[in-house]
Amino acid sequence: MARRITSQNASLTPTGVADTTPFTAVNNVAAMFYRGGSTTQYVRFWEFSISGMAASSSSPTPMLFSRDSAVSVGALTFAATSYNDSNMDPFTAALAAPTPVGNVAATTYPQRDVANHLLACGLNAFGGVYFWRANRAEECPAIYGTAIDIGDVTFSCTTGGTPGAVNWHIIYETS
Amino acid sequence: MGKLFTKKSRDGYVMLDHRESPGVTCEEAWRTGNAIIPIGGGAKLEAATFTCSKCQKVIVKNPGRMRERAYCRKCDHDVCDECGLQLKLGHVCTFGTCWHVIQVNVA
Repeated sequence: MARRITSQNASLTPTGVADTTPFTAVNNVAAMFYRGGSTTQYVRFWEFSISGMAASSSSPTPMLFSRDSAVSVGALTFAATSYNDSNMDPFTAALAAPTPVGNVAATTYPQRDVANHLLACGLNAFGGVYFWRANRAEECPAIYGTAIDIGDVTFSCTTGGTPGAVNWHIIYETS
Repeated sequence: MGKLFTKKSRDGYVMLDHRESPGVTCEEAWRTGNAIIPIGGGAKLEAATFTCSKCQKVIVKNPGRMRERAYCRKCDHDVCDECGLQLKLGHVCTFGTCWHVIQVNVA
């Protein structure tokens, strides 16, 4: 068991990407992809916190945490230094198979599934704050393995809004 | 003596604070496919949530809801309306359909 925190702290404005549309190196701003670190790895998502940072006008920002209909392929990395993935406890031992996380996919970007949106995290980025936390392990949305449908998730912005700048953190636990 | 288990002890917590924001109208939320909970400007939502044991969608409990909530007796857990309909139509709680069963087998 190892809890880790992924954060984005540069107040980036996400791009709305429709379901089943591939993410790219252009529309991946303020998005995050997670995939199981092995075929049997289990990852639970405990907490989502998003702070609206838009400066001047109403900005409905429809952030979504969702399963994917096409999994990411290749190493996942971060596009900029404003993203971070870190252990929460300084004494956490290094995982044999770290959970791949990032907003850049080396080979193929994932696509958000149209039917498996797990958590609606939208907010008005002009002054809004969103927070969700699970109370028990069995209440956490989770991924298992690396296969399509259950082994790959994305946190991203969907279409229909006028996204504004946000920053956020996500806490997850690998087991 | 051990702690008494209650279903409420499993509840998650969601907070959407638009007290210092113009908020989001129902129309704006609808345009996003309901990716935003429509909380108006100057308002703040704090609510309990549960995670559907079938599809793992996180559901915000509407405190004003009068209809009964779907429930799976096999995993002793609330399920979302869509999966509740599947249960009523005879779909069973199995390894492949219930995340609670998967978690027990993986842990």
